[in-house]
Amino acid sequence: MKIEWTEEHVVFSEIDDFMLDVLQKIPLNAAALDDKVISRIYPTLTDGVDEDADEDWREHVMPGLSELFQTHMDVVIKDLKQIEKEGDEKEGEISTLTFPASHVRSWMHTLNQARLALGALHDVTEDDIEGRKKDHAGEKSFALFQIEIYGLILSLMLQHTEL
Amino acid sequence: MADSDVLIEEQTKTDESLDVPWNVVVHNDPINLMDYVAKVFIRVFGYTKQRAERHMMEVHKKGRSIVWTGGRERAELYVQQLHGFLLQATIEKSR
Repeated sequence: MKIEWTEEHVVFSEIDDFMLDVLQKIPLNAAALDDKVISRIYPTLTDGVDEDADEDWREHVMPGLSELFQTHMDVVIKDLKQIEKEGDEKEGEISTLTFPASHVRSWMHTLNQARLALGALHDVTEDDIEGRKKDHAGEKSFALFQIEIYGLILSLMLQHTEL
Repeated sequence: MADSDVLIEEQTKTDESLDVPWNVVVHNDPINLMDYVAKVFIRVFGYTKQRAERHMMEVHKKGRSIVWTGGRERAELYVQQLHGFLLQATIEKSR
């Protein structure tokens, strides 16, 4: 997969079927509804030290954050629907994704949310990320791969755009 | 003691609790990219790159960093912004 950047657009080209699947899973991963994911994506104000304050936070602040995160995710979902495929199934299809540079902040947010959700869901540790622990079963191994790929894309976007 | 005295005393306690300086603390997590965390500090607090990176390294090495201290209301606003960027942040009373 190649990523090119112009002033107006970001283009992901030469996307094979495997990478296409990894990209299309970004919003799905970000929106995971597991309890561990929800506590990571929506932390409280005092992390349990002041239960009343945390309850207020859940009631008054989290809905606004949830709406903001959904807005970012909707942009990514809409962009992913614009993927164009070339070639045929026999010889292998190659896809291209083009989206406006103005969508990059939403992409950065959703990529990060997907990474954090995968990390929470699979109990990913610092050792896992730094490759010191390698005895992972299939699902966790794929989760770590996705975290790494999303991280590479996020790093590239951070080089081109301010938050 | 009249009801109004109770009210005044309760009000004073609440105000005192709001006046205590509060720390905004950012906690480490294994997933967030270090560059991303530093950029969030620059964006939210307007810190220089150097200061933002110092806090980011403190989070990474010590597990937490006090990134701001001051009034409760503003501290909550900062935590809200940090949560908006998916950082793990809390407030605590400054000792």
